[in-house]
Amino acid sequence: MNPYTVTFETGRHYKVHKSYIWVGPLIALVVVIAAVLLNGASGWVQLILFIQEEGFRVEVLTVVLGAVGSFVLLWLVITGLYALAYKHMSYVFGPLEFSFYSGVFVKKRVHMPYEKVQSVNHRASLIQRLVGVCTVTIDSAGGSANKAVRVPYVTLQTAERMRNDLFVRKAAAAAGVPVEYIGDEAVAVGAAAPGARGGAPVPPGMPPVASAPVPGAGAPNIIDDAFQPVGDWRGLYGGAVLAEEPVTFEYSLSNKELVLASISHPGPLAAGLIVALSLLVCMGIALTQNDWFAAVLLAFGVPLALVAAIVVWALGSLGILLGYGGFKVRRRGSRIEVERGLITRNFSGIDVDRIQYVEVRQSVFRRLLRHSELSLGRIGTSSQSSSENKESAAKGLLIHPFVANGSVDALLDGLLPEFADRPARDACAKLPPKALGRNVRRRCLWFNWVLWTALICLGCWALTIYLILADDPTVDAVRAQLVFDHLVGIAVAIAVVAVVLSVAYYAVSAVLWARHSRYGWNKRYLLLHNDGLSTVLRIVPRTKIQSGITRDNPFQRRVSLTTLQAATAAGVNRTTVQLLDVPAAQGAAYLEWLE
Amino acid sequence: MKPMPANQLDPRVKAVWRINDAIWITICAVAALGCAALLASLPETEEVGGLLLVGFAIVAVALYIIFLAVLPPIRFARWRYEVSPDYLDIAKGIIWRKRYTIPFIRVQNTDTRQGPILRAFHLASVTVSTAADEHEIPGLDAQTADALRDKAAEFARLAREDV
Repeated sequence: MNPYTVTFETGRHYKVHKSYIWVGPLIALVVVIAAVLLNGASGWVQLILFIQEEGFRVEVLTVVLGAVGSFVLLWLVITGLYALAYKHMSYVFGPLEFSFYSGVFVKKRVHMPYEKVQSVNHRASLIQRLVGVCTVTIDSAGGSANKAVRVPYVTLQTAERMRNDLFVRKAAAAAGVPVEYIGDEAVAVGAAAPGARGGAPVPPGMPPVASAPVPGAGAPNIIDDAFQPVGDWRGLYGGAVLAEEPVTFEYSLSNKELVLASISHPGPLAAGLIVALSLLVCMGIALTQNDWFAAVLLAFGVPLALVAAIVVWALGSLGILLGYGGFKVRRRGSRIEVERGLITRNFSGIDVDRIQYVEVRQSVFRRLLRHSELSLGRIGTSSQSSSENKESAAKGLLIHPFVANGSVDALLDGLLPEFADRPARDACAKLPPKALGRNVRRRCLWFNWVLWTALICLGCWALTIYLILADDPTVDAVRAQLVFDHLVGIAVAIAVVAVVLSVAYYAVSAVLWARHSRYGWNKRYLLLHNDGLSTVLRIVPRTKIQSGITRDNPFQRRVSLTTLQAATAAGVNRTTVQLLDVPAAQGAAYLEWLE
Repeated sequence: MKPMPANQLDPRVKAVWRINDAIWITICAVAALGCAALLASLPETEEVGGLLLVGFAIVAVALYIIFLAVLPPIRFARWRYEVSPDYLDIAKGIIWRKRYTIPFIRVQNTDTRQGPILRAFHLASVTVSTAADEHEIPGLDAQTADALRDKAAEFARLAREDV
C-alpha cells in the first residue's frame, strides 16, 4: 500500500472558505463606522440638540436614513469587491508544487515547490477564531531569498489537512514516489489511525520517547483551565481535530510559569519604568518653578507616577499573559509545534533539521528569578508582513518563556533528543583572566553610551552658553544664561548619578561576563555562552555554521585574544553569534574544527 | 598558530583600488569644493567659505595620499586566500584582522564579476555566497577566477539547498 496518501486532489482548484466574503467587509465596516462616529462627533451632537429643540421632524429622519443608507451602500460595495476577489482566489496542489491564485485585475500566482516547504503555520485573529477560520502561511526553506505563501480564510480542519498533505507530498517528492488521493471523506473526525496515515516517516535517529512531562512544566494552569473552551474553541466552521502523527513529547505552562513569565517580560517592565521616570522628570522640572505647587506635586505626584507605572506594567503584562495563554509545545514526528494565544491564536512549527540554533536567554529580572527563556533560531521569511510576525521571525521560535534553570536540560532532552550530545556548559572552557580588565574598561568607558551622551549634552550646552551667547545682549540670550546658571548644578548632579549607575551596572555585567562566559565545541555542536546581568547561551549545530570567523583589533592582538564568530542563516538576513576575547590559539582551533 | 593562507591577489588589483578610490574621492571633493566656492563667492559668507575651501582641499589631499599611496600596499599585503579541497580560507583587514573559514559544502552559489575597471586590467572578482553571508575575492586574473568559480560551483552542487 502506498504510504503517501493525500486528501487534496492533485491539480484541482480549491476555494478558500466563504466567510472571506462577509468577515472581511464586516471588519472594514466596523472600522469605517468607528471613524465616522468619532470624526463627525460634533455633527451628531448638533443633530441631537436640533432634535431637543425642534422635536423629531422629517429632516432628522432624512439625515439618519441618509447616514444609514450610505453605510449600507458602502458595505454592499465592499462586500461586492470581496466577493469578486473571492471568485478569483483559489489554491491548487499541483504535481510538483503548491500554487495560490489571486487578483481580480492583476492576476497573481504564487508557487511553492514541495521540497522547499519548511513549515506550515496558521494564525487566527479574534473574529477569525469565532468563525473557525485562519490564515495559513507556508514558509520556504530557501537561503536568503526566502518567501512565504499566505492563504487566507481556510477552516482549521482544512489548515491541518493542508499541513499534513504538504508534508506528505514533500516526503513523496523526496522519495520519488507518486502520492495517492484517498478523498477528503477519509479524514472526517479522526477516522485515520495515528501513524497509519502518511506523514513524513519518523527518522531513524528518533527514539520513541514516552510523553513524560518535565517536572514543573507539565501541569496545566488556571488560565488554561478556566479558558479551556476558549483555547480549544474551533469556531463555527472549524471542524473536528484531525489525527496526525503521534506526539512524543508535550508540555504547557504551569500557573507559576505563566504568571511569572508575563510579569517578568522585559517589555511591560521597561514601559512602566519609562512612564514612571518621565513623570518624575516632569515633576522635577515643575518643582523648580513654584513653592506651593511643588508641595502639591510631592504629595500627589509621586504616588500618581507610581500608580501610573504599575497600571502600564500590569496592562502590558496582561497582554503578554493573553499571548502566552494556552501555550502548548509538541514534538510530533520530526517537527516541533508551538501553539499559543487566548485571543489571537498562533500555530507555528519547525522541522528539527531546520533549527539553526537553540537559544537560552535570561533578562536581568529573570536571571534573579533563576529562570530562562528558550527559543529556536530559524530562518525568517521576508514576506511576513505584520510587525509581530517580523519580530518573531527575528527572535526565533519561542518554545518556553519561563523555565527553571535546572529543568532546561531535561526539557531540551525531551523535545530535541537529536541535540542530546550537545556540549555541557559546565564542561566548556572559561575565558582567560586578561579578558576581565579589558571588558571592564570596554563596557564602562568606551562603550558606555550613558557616559558619552551625558558628556556631549553637557558640553554642547556649556559651549552654546559661553561661546555663542556670551556677548549677546538680547532678552532670550540673557534668560538662557540665567537658566544655565540656575540649573547647571542639578544637571551635572543628574549626569554624575546616571554615569555612576551605568558604570556600576556595566562593571557588574563585565565581571559576571568574564567569570562565567563559556565556549566550547564537540563533534557536532558549538556552544557560546555570553554571561552578564542578562545572559545568552547558544548551541549551534556545526552544519548550520555557514562560515567561521575570527576577528581581532590591535589591543586584542597585543594580549593574543580574538573574537569568535559564527555566521548562521537564522533571522531575516542572518544572525552572527559571537564571543569576545577567546585566546587566539583557540580561535585558530575553532577555524580548523570547521574545516 | 594556523599559518596564513598561501595565495595573494593579483598585484594589478592595487591599481584597480587606486583608480576606484580616486574616482570616488574626486567626485566628493569636486562637490564639496564647489559648495565651498559658492559660499566664498557670496559677500556675506566670504570668510566661512574661504575657510571651508582650504579645509576641504586639505582633507581631499590627505584622502588622496591615504587611499592612493598608503593603503593599497598594506591592504594588498594583508589580503590572502587559500583554496583547499574542503574549504576556502580568507584573511584580510588592517586594523581589525579577520579570518574566515567557509566550508565549500555550505556554499550556495558562486559568481564572477567584472566591472569596467577590472576588465581593463583583465581581472575579475569571485563572490562566494552561503545561506548567511557573501565573501568576495577581488582582483584575480580572469583564468584563476574562473578556475576558482568552477571549483566552488562543483562543491556547491553537493551542498544541500535546505538550510
